[in-house]
Amino acid sequence: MDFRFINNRLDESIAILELDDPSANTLTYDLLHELEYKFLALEADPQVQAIVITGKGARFFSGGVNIGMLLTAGKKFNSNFILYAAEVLEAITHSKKLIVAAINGNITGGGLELALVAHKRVAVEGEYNIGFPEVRLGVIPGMGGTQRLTRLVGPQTALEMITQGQFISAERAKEIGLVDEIYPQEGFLNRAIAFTREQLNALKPAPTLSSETGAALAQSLSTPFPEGLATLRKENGLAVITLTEASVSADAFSTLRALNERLLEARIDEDVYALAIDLSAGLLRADELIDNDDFVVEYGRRVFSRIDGFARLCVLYCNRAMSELEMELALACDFRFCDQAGLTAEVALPTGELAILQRYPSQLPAALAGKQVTLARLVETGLFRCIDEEDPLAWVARYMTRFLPPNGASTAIGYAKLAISKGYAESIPSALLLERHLQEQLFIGADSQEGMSAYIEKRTPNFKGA
Amino acid sequence: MAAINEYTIDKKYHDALIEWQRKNFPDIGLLEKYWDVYFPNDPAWRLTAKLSEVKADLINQGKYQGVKKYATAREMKGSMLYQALRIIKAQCSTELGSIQQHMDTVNTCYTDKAKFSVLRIMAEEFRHAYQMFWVLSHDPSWSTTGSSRIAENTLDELLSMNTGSHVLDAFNIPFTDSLDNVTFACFIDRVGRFQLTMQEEFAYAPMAASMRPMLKEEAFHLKTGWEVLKEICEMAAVGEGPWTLADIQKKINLWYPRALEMFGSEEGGESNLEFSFKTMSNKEAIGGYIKEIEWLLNSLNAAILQRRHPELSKEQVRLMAKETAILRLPSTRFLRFRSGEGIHESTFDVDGNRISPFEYINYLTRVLPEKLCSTEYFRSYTDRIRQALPTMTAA
Repeated sequence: MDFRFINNRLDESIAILELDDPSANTLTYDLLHELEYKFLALEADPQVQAIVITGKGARFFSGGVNIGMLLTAGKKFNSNFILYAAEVLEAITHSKKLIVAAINGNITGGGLELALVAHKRVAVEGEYNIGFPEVRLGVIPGMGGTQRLTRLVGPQTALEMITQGQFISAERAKEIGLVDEIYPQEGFLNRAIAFTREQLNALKPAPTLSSETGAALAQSLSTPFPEGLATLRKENGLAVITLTEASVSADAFSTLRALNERLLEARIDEDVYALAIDLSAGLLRADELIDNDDFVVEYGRRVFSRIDGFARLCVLYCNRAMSELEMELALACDFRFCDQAGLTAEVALPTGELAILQRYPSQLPAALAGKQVTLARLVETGLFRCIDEEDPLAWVARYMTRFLPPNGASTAIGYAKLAISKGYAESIPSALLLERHLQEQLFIGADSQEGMSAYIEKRTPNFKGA
Repeated sequence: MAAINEYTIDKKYHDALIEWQRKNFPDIGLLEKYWDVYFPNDPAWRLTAKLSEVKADLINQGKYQGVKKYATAREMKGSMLYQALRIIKAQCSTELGSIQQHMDTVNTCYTDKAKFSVLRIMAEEFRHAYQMFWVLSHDPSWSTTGSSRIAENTLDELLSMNTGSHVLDAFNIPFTDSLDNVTFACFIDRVGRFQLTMQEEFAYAPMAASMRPMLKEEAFHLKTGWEVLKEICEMAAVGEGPWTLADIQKKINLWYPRALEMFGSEEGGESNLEFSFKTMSNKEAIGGYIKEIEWLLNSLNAAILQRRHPELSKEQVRLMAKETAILRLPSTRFLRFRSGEGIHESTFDVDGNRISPFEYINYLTRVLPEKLCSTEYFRSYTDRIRQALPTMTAA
């Protein structure tokens, strides 16, 4: 990947990442996409023990999400973008490296949310703005800001900062515990690096990959993955991702990255209302023991979680043997299909305490965990459905059209999915809150008006996906 | 002379613009009918997008210096894409907005020549809007990952704008008489010329290539504004014509601050330089504009004095004009909305002295055009100040 918005250099074991998109280093899809990959590469790099994030120039760390983008791109894109941005920030919090935000100037909205995922924050002396102005724009910090700020400075201070939408100074930020240290402008970045080094010395060394594995992953990340490992085509709002024969022979990490790219493209696309994944050619070799490679498995799970958190229905079609990791992909989808020819294929069921397994108590009884079973057995339990059609994938595509506008209220369908899949993992009060929130959103949308009008007028609703 | 190529835009938008013109600029046929009478030496007006060669093939400043200017929007990414879109939208909004403003008063111009000159200005602004529609509609790559309709959304928004909803405030002020047509051409179109000149180096090549033909036409607008305003000043100097010097001064008090705000904040413009969308910072551009306007005002004052004292030489009246300053530019602090201060903290008189917000509204009715003070535009501004008053009292 060509990095246009993230500059990166190494100071011994400390990587310095500089956001570079003039003049305010605002967050766009392109910048976050680079940030996600840069973090992945640094995560894999055994030489790197800590990461310092800062902004290029003397004026801005980051001015937050690019408002020009939000104004022109449309509601659906914006909603997809915020989900994606939240995911990137969430992924950073799982980093095993020490992360320090070096606040070199104005830091507002999403920029501050980014700094909040760091373990520590240091700020430059001077007059500039720190804060969450979102309520002045009619929104709230939506990339984890309300939660992370609250946990850092306490609910009362967080409430004041967020509801008043006012900016605070670096001194005030230190008083409330939002930043750890303030350093003079001259030599600020060097002081931030020295602070990071002190912190590193005080910590036990983070577990890192072996240099051999790390070097292999770094090599893989430094080169573009081969074209054609995964393809994406769109038909009337249905996105179909196909893993190709090439993906099976490529290394697992490259294949997962290719899948991730196509998933991202589909997820951010305002015209996509449902997603189908064709795994018939394969994702990974069934006999590949990548399960030993924690980094790749963890990365794979992160990729699959993109499906789980996607407020659209996702289906998977597969008719061949599947590895444990592939099965995790299947479980992240909402419906799974195979055909007659695939019934005898062997499937390795995941072991362990994966949360996603808990969702399928009847279809995936505990007794089956870690076992090798046929797809026919999973058809029996109801986890897979068998299609008796000449062209099963075409059938799946036809099947999905019922969930797409104008026939299907795709947003309501997607929200129902989220209420079930995300709510199931929460306590009842949290799940009910989620359900209420989603319902509220739907009542604001045009589709609910159309659905109710059509009901009263005794006609077929014409949904727009809104 | 650089070759100019002409293009038409996609039928969908061509038809939409023609529909817009029928509603907002119905007199275009009149101009076409009498073009040869008033502009016999100029080629007839045509609704096309005109492109000349770009001034330089490479981006010559900022973050992408040395890179070939982008032929497609897809090559611009991140903030650059949205900022380019914002500039093109603002440019187009000014073109459409000015037509809507001119239309209200063009038929009250005090001579037929002035009226047809304003009609020509409007027709050329319409072509400029057409040009911006071409910039956004000819290139299918105007999209970003996940959102394929950013240009389409922008074009639809532009077609729905009216006086009051345009991007820049100068284009939301209703004209109240034909002196506005002239003062606007003189003060506001001059800002347009600054912007177009700076945008000749625009990093997106189709935009850069659009600038020279637009600039050529803009020159006529400035010339018209200047010549007619000078003529009106000369008449006013000896008590002739429809306006007094005090009327003219009030128009200057209105349009000059709006012109300054079109450049953006004095501290801003950094990213336009970084992305090579413009060649000057806002501060530099404002400085250049003020210098030009000061010269212009001095020339108007000289013309006024010359009419009053025909016996004096040009040199004498020029010197006298500097000292007497019959028409004056208001302070750069007067009537500024984007000062960064709260609305109640931006109450200055024309000399730049802070004035009590309680007195400010009354003061404005004395120094701004009378008819403007009974418009919705003025009411809305003064309402915002009034709303801030109780807060101040409490403070």
